[in-house]
Amino acid sequence: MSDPKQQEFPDPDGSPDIDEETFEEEVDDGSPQKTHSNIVFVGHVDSGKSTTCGRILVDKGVVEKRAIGRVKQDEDAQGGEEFIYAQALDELEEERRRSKTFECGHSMFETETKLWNVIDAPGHRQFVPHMIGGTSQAEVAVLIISARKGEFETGFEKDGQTREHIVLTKTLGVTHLIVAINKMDDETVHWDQGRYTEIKDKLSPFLKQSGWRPADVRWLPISGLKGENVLHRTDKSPWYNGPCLIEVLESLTPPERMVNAPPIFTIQEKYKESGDSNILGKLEVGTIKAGDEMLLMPINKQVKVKAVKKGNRTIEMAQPGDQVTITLTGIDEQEISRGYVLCSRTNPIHATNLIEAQFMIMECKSVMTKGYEAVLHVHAATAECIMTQISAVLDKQGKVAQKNPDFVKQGQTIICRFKTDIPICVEPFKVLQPCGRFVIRDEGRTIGIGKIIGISVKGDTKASAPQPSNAQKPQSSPSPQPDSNKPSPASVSTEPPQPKAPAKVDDGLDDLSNFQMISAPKQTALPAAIKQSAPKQSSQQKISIAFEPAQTQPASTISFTPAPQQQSGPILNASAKPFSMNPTAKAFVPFKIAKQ
Amino acid sequence: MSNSDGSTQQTEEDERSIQQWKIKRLIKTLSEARGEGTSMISLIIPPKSQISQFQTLLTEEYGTATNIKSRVNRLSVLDAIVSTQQRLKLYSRCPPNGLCIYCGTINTEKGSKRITIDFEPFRPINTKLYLCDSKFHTEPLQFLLESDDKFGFIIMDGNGALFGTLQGNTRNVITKFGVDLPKKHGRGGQSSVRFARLRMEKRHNYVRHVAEVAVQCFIVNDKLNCSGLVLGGSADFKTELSQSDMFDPRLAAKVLKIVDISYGGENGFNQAIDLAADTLGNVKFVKEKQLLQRYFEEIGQDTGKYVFGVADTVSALEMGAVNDLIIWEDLPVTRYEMMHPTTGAKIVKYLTVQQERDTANFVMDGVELTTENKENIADWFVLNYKSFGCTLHFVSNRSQEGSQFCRGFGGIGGLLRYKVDLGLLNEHLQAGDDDDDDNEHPFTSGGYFVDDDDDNPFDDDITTYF
Repeated sequence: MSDPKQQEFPDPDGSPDIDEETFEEEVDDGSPQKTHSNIVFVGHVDSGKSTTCGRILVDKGVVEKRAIGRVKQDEDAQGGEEFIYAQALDELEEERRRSKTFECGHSMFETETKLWNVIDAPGHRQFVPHMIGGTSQAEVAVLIISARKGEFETGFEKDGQTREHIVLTKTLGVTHLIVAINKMDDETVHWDQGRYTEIKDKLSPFLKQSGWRPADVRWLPISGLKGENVLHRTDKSPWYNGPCLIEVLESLTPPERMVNAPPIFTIQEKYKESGDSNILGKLEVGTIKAGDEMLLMPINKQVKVKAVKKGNRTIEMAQPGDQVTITLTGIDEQEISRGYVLCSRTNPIHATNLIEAQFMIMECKSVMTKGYEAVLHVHAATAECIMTQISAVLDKQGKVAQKNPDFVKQGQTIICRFKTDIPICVEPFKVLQPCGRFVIRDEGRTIGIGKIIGISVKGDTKASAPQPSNAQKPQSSPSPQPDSNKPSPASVSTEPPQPKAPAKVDDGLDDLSNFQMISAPKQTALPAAIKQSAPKQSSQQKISIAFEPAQTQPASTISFTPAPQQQSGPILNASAKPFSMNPTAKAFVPFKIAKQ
Repeated sequence: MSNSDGSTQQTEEDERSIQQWKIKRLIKTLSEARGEGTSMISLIIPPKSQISQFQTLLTEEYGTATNIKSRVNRLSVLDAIVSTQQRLKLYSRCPPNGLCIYCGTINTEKGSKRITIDFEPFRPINTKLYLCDSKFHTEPLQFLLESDDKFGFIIMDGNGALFGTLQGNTRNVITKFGVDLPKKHGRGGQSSVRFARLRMEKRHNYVRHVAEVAVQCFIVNDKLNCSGLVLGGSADFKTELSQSDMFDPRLAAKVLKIVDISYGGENGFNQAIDLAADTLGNVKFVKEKQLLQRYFEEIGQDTGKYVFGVADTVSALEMGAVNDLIIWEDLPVTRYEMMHPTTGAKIVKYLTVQQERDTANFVMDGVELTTENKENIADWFVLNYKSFGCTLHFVSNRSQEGSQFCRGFGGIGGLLRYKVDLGLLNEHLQAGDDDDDDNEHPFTSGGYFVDDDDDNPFDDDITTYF
């Protein structure tokens, strides 16, 4: 639905060359480091996601010869020639037994210029929560569609996962979609062009409706099982002579990464290994290297990074977008949960249990009102939530069509509030996109999607209500300004939060003006916190929750100008910059800073 | 409720649920009441008892009570016993379902007040009780609230397990716990075989733990304490549990249904109730959901045959248009009958707790209105709904639909017989509708806001008056 994600992936003719240049300079283990990209395979159950993944891994030689042998043996024992390749990623016994993926499988392979981190999502409708977790980590999605007679139709029915996955990929921040029509070798298909175009014609309108621009979507026919058109082009389809899957992947432009921002690392999984707590997840923005002192939110625990690993290889520094394993010290594995966020101590992410959001209702039996209970997914976090307030219904232009409606219906876009049962780490969409978009699900269906436009900072350390005027004034006590919450109906109608017109690509100016008011309090909050040790600021009593007052300046500022001790306008702006999402800003020339 | 299928039975059932609601309310008040010393008398007489026997008992007690040293306490106890005797005299013989008498002087904000309540329970009560205490003893009445069937739920997924029960319209979570199961990694230094083994072991332990807790929750005195069990879970856990040897055979025999849910926790619980609705049959909770779903559908299709909010509902009632009146059982709205002191005009207002605090609601033309009668709205409807020709349904806020009904539609609404244009009605009726002006929220421009929405009357603890 939303558009500004394109800021992450700029136009395809960006120049990845620069990245590589800089990359080569900071090689740490001899082999040239390649651009890291995350790719997720989605699609209806039994469409061949795992098989295609497995085929790539086997053909690429990622899965060891010996391992394949064993896998094959296992498979023979349990029958079903068809599922051989899927076993490469379906490691669990019950997954193999039932030939069905339950949890996201992870693996890696390399192409000429890129290092791909593969996430194989489950397709079964029951495991959509897992799929959401996996998809939130990826920038590229391969939607596998089964061309076999009847299978495409089932997947595309109202309750089929094809539809749901298309919507979810768009919402969860995937920027490029590759639609791979699979099973072209099937005896009901026989590489028939008619079938291919039929599926394409049926899917296209829905993709468009879900917010996918045709330019971001690639189509190709494949046979995952036979490996046709996957690694190599096939001669079976004279009517298609475009690039094969790997070539398509290779041609995609990597997203613009925000190296300079304070690091935000979302935790997917955790495990204990030889006494250390390891977390696996994605570094959304910023960089993390061994020795960094960081904060784990929302539990507010100070931790230290012991090592950063990509795959099984220890690396010096994690770049934004990387899927890495981080070894932490100073915390027990038991305390960590999926959905927690590792962030910088100076610029921690907000933890809240009340968000205000622009929410699109996609499925609703009759009507929805305050009191609606569901499950909220944001990045890797999951929480039960309740809708506490509906303040407006928006029309297609994003203007307010109705204020304080009694109830809302399917298809409407609304402004509402959700209260969650546990605190979640989020930021408004404008500030940090990966932590600002969410999905609401209930009873196994995706009810709607939305983006966060406001978060409650009640009882929060950074409670200073953000105000543009605050940013201007050098003031040391950003006390919550009561008037900042005054109703401003005028601004409501003239400047709705993030209009959803997909055509509007860039609102860099908006963002620039926004970061001032949004990130300013974050900056001001730090000195205030420091000063709090001198107990004068009565309004800042709560500060110490997130900041250790004693903690003056953590040694490890990776890429970030240390927050100013003395507040003044220019410095404020300089340090606030990292939060801007404007890709054209100088600060975002990727990887430059890594050299220091 | 479809009127076609056996309307007599339907009304009987409705009648009983109203009875039940009344008892519930009564018990709540009684159990909250506190009095001086030991002057609160609870007397419960089982069916087929001799009234005279209890008269004798009271006389004896009277004698004993004269020996109480404290003068104040003695007098109030004697007082209470006399009142109880008087009340008992009104019954020549014991009613078929037994008899309950509560008598005593309770302390309220406005000072102490003597109350004597006697009623016949709607179901036979098999307890004999006489107690003088500083509070009323209502424990034996609790069973009246319980409907016949109680269902146990075990909800388990990869993150944890939840044990709950569903009885009547009460959904109750007995216990829940979280679990940390290793995910599949496909990386990490450990050998995959070892890792798979660890994983299997953890899963096994988890299933074992669930099976053990299930026994603690559902087996009392070697017997299942509910009439059936529903297992809900994602992935294979539920089947694994039901087929496992660790799962108590007494429980396994009573598994009514195994349902697939996509989430654990409360959400999964709700979904499991939904999915098992057919099996649960006549449980009130399910009926309540169905009624509200029908109500929401009317709204969704915009048929105009619905009404919500106090003001609209009352005006629709007065028109006789309401077929099914739906009220949240804890609706915190009070009905005020007030009189204009100069003109003598009668004014009826329906006020929420917040509105009660606002003195402006009690003033008209600069004159303070005199309150003649003050009653909880639900109580008033129980007494008067028949005169509006409607059926009364109480709902709880524990189901998904109930929660929305209470929060979104103000906890009161109705299904109409015919379409009514309430826009016209609103003009001449300005009763105490839930005015949200104070709660109006702007869009927060900066992205951060302070939660100031605390005094929502529908939120957590609800104060009820009697």
